[in-house]
Amino acid sequence: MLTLALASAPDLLFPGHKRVLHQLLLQSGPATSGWTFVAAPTAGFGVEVVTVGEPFAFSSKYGTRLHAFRPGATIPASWNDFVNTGAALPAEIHSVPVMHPLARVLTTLRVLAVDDRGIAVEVVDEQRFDASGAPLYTGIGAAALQLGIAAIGLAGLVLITRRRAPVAPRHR
Amino acid sequence: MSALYLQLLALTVASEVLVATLLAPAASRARTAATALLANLTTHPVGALLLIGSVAPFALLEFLVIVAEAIAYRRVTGLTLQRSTLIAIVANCASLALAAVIG
Repeated sequence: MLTLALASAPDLLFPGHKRVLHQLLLQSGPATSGWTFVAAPTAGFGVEVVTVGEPFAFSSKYGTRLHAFRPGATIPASWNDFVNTGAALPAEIHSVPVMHPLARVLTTLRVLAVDDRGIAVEVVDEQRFDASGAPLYTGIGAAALQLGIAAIGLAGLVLITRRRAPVAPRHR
Repeated sequence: MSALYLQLLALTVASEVLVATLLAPAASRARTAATALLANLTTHPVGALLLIGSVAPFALLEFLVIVAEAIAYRRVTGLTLQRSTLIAIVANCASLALAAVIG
């Protein structure tokens, strides 16, 4: 059984920050066949049956863990009834500064092994999107273009400084 | 770089140029507007890169941007340090508020 420390994340938004939608996706694979997966918090509400290949919500604050059940097994309706054998999930990206372009994160998980003692997962991919749904491109090309814009601005500032016109004292 | 970033840049430049122009003395408005435009073209991309790269906390980056822009207003327009700092603070607060409203 994989047991990871859950990152604590406050549920409130600090001033100047905005909420980010962070979802998980369970990748289909040999280890997922023949099991029913459930995302359940260790505190709070919202037991959710996870469909492999479809995004699902989770919460670091409420300690969402991933559980696997044999076909036909009774899935507890309340988090109180879960035995704590589920896999811990990655730390949720809860919020970012308002000027940050990030709006949505999709983390893909692979199930490494499942048995009656527990479940082991690993992160295989993480995609980040802006508010328009476009992938958040942070590659070298984007950085070069941004630095190019900054260079133009800086060059303009240098030029305009050299042509500085004195301001009349009454305006200072 | 996404189209959204360019929209954010345009929005920031437009709002800060407007605020800086309004706060500048009448005789310095054109020069202050040009400085606001060029200063934001410099600080916004660099700030965005550092923010996305999680190089520094947002509050620290915003503070450094305000300091850099205040220096630019002071050096380019010859306005007093107090007036330059006031313009930089108010303009950045305005663009930040606008970004918060737009979401």
